[in-house]
Amino acid sequence: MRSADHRRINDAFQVFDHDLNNTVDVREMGAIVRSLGCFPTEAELLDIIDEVEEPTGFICFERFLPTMSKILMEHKFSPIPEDMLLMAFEVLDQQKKGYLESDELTNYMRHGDEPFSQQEIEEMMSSAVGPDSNAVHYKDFVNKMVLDGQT
Amino acid sequence: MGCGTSIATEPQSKAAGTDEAARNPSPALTMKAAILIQGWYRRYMARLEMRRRYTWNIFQSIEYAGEQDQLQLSGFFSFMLDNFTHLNSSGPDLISQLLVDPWLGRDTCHQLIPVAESYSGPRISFPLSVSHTDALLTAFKEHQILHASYALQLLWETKKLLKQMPNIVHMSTSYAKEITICGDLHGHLDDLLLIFYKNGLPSADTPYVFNGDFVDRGKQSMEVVLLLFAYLLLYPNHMHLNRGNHEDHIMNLRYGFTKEVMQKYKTHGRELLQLFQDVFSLLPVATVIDSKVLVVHGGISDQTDLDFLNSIERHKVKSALRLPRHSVQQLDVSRPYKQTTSSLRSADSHCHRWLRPIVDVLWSDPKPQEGCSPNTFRGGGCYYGPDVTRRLLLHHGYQLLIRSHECKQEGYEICHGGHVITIFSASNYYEEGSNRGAYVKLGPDLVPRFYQYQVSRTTRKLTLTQRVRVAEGSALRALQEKLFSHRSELLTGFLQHDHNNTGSL
Repeated sequence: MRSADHRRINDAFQVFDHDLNNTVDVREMGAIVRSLGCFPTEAELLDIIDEVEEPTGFICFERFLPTMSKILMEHKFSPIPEDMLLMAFEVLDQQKKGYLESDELTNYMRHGDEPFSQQEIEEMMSSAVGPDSNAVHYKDFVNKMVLDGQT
Repeated sequence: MGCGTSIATEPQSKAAGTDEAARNPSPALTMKAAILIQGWYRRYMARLEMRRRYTWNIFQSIEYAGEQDQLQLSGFFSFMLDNFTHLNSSGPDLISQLLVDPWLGRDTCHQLIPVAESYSGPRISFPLSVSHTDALLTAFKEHQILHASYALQLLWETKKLLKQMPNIVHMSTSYAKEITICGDLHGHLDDLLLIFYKNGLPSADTPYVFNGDFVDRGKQSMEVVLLLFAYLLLYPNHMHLNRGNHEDHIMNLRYGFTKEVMQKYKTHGRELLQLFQDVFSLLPVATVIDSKVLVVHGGISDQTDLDFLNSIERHKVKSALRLPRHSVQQLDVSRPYKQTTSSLRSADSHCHRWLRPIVDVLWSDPKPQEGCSPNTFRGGGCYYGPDVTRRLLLHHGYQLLIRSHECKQEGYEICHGGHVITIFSASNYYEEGSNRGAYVKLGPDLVPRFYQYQVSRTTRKLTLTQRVRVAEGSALRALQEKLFSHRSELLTGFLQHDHNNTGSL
């Protein structure tokens, strides 16, 4: 178990270790942590970075490994099951239409503690909204995204 | 438990509860649902980013492995030329034909080529005027080819002009409001045209620096480089071209420019290529703006001395890939090898001393760690750390280094605490959608302003998912090609460890 985790962490880290010297840029942390199947919020991600960052703005593998192993072992920031994601969309679909207007969904995504940036909104809408309507059929969308995530 | 699941438990219980509650969920509940979707979506995007980076790594490794091969191969050629040319006394061999001394009198040959009445492409005469460059622009947009006679004249004029230029060109923002700096174009004519469209054609009011790597890889290197040279002739004080590591006739042999020229100019391709070889070696290697900003293609090393760099006879460094010691005497295979070596010795030592400083500024990449180390990934130049940058900038009283040479996803990147900018102007370099192109503008305040763009052949905007898919597919194809071309070595390697011939390890 532990050694398998160790290898996964090492593999993910190495993708971003461009100079092959066991360090990565602090800006790559989000992608590394999330690619290991964890999904912290932006605030939680900053906490992780605070814990492992060197004064130079780099992350060393030696310091990253124990922190990340602990996160994996404790199943922190574990992924959201598909059905729960679907339920979240159903909550937003107050009239139970089976779809959300793109404006509606955009509006929701613009709120919260960590609202979407304009770029995130545009990216999400470009894959969520059907080609000839303004509606997000969220069931299809969730299925599509879950499938994509697996390949 | 993670926060994601704890947020989600509420909608679950509500959903299982009364219909009314589900129909009219509280604002707090919708907020939690939205946050859950945001968190999940960001994770999904992060995974995509991971896949994109993997793909990028594959492309980059293949690209640089190619350059490494190139350096090794040219080392082999140099060795062969050094040791075996004297054996071959039957006549010029293939290699020496490719590497004829470019300073032989061939400057007048272009006058001999007549232009047929029926030629429908653009016609130009010298000195060039705006109507000529306009004609070239229009013609290249319509995929016309400039007649060899005009192309040769254009190169000859460019060569004459460049001979008068110093190794390091000084520019000032005070003559114009802003100077535009562009990075690698690699034969991407569409990107060059887009830059001109967005930013304006070169002129006294719109000065440009093009920071090397105009040719190779892309399909329209000829058009790109002819346009750049034409504007250089038209505005020699407001248009500056730095040499890149691909302005090198040996790189061109492998990375497409030689082939492109030979295909477009079946009869006069060789003359053109020989003239290109001269012109490329005469390109200045650096530009300095307002005595504050250094613009070079690759960067610097801990040995870089700009005063020394300025004193070099740059045209003698024809190629970074081959020591420039093989002058015409040595390639004149009819002459005995021994006789020529002693007379070449003093020239040799100069060229050796000149090669390294030029290779360093054309081939190097910045690295985040302190220090300076050999660039093993590319096989030439070095990696320079923030301390190397700091020291050089401080020594000359500069504040910024602008370089190109590396493809960046956003078209530009800032490193070394804001002291180094990478600018790359060929969009979709690895694959459709792989990266944006960018250029940077500097005004008298010397605060860089970046402009990004992406040439798109498809009108439909691809989502990130689709772009990653396309890039992955093409990276895998490139890998398959590599594997296929090395299959016999791979098989031999596997067989060595498969002692019982089981077919598996």
